[in-house]
Amino acid sequence: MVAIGLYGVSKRFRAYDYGNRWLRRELIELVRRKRKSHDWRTVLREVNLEIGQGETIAILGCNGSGKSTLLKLMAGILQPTTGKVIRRGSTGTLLDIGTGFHEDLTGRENVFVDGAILGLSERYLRAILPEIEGFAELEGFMDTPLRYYSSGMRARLGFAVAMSANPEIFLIDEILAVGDEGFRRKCFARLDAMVSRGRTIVIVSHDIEAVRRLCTRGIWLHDGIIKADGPIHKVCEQYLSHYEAELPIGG
Amino acid sequence: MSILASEVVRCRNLIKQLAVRDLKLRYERSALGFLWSLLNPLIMIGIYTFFFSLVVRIGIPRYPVFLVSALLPWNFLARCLLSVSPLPYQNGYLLNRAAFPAESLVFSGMLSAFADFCLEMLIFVVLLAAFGFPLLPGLLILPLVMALQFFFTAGVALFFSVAYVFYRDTQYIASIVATAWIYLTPVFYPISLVPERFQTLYKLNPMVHIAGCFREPLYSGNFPHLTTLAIAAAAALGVFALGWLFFNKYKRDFAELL
Repeated sequence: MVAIGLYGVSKRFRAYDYGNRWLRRELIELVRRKRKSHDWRTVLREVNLEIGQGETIAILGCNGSGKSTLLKLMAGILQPTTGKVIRRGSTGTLLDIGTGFHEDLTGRENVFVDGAILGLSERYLRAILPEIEGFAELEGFMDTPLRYYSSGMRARLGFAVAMSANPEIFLIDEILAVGDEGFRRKCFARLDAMVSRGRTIVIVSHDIEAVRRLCTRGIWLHDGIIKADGPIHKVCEQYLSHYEAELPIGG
Repeated sequence: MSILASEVVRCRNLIKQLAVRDLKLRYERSALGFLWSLLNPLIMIGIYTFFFSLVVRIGIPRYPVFLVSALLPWNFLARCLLSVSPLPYQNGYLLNRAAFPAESLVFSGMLSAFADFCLEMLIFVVLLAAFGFPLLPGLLILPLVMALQFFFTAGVALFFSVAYVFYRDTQYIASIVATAWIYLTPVFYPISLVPERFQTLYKLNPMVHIAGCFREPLYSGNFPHLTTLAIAAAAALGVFALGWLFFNKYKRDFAELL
């Protein structure tokens, strides 16, 4: 069964200062009759992609290739300019760690706000609070305001909240470099457990080793089109050899 | 409309959590919390009373009561216009990183402001009772009028929150609107002082009727006139529906713009 489907999906952004406009300037342009037509920047072109339920997919590509945009379209944060995105199942996102965190609130209070932003109910959060506390290794710190947390503690708490959502579709953007080796291993163990329960996971990452370990299928995105799609090892190889050819190490 | 309503039901926990966060940050963390937020209206009441009953001598008996009965609802509207409607714009990073309905930011801010409004109203009503004012008609109609005020304000706040996302000069426009609006609403003076030939035009402002629905029970001790109440209700629901439709037309673009 298809968990996520993208059919003929293109995404264009207005290239400059859209969303940072002044009414004043717009009026001036209107009076002078020289309304600038906005330059468009196409980030994704006619992407067709089906992700089956239970698949673990890595999206590879250089900066600016459209990876994050693709993930945000899958999450429903952005809407496609053309084409259609379908999604079957509850969707969790980890695009940023501790999105809703506030410095002046305690760890516990932040769990409830951040969890709510991720769509979790208060009752659910209350029930799994000890688990979050344990996973984040923050026993005894939950009543401390976040401003006294180290960056590692903060990241662990954010990750623990997002992981606790246990969604059917989990979209992750470049956040696997969190915490020390021990915590990283724990995160991977948690992701592995999700995989074995048939969850669908999509990861955007530059960490080739990590995605090789976790994913079965790879997608190489280049300039807004899918350049390769197949078994992870094969796609990783193609991806790496592309850069090898362009800029050989030590060459 | 029912689809829209179900969206609010779906994210009611988020709305609640954000409102609670806001109240906590404002009050729990500063010792004088609520007192600070009372200080501002108290000073305003003192100054306006001095100005309008001693300097301008508008000739209204019990001027502080007259003033406060309309000033409190006005303050709620002003707060929502000036500090709640910028919230989606200010929280752009949230909208860009998690998929949740943007209106939850507006509604949570409004709930937090509404909590202040209710507390202020409660204090006012208790003071009125302490001075032996006949309270029954006021108390009966007040929840309904406050609900109407909430819907009206929500419509205004939703409209302006879209404007905030799209245009940077909305902040200046909003403060001009707020300043003009309070003088075009009978807050400081009675509606009877408006010259006859301007009355029709003047009454196009929905806040005229909503303020009347507060003042009649709280100052005169009567039920608001049924026509006033009906106009206020129609305006409140109409403005709310327009604001919400407008918001939903544009909210899909928010994440992209911010």
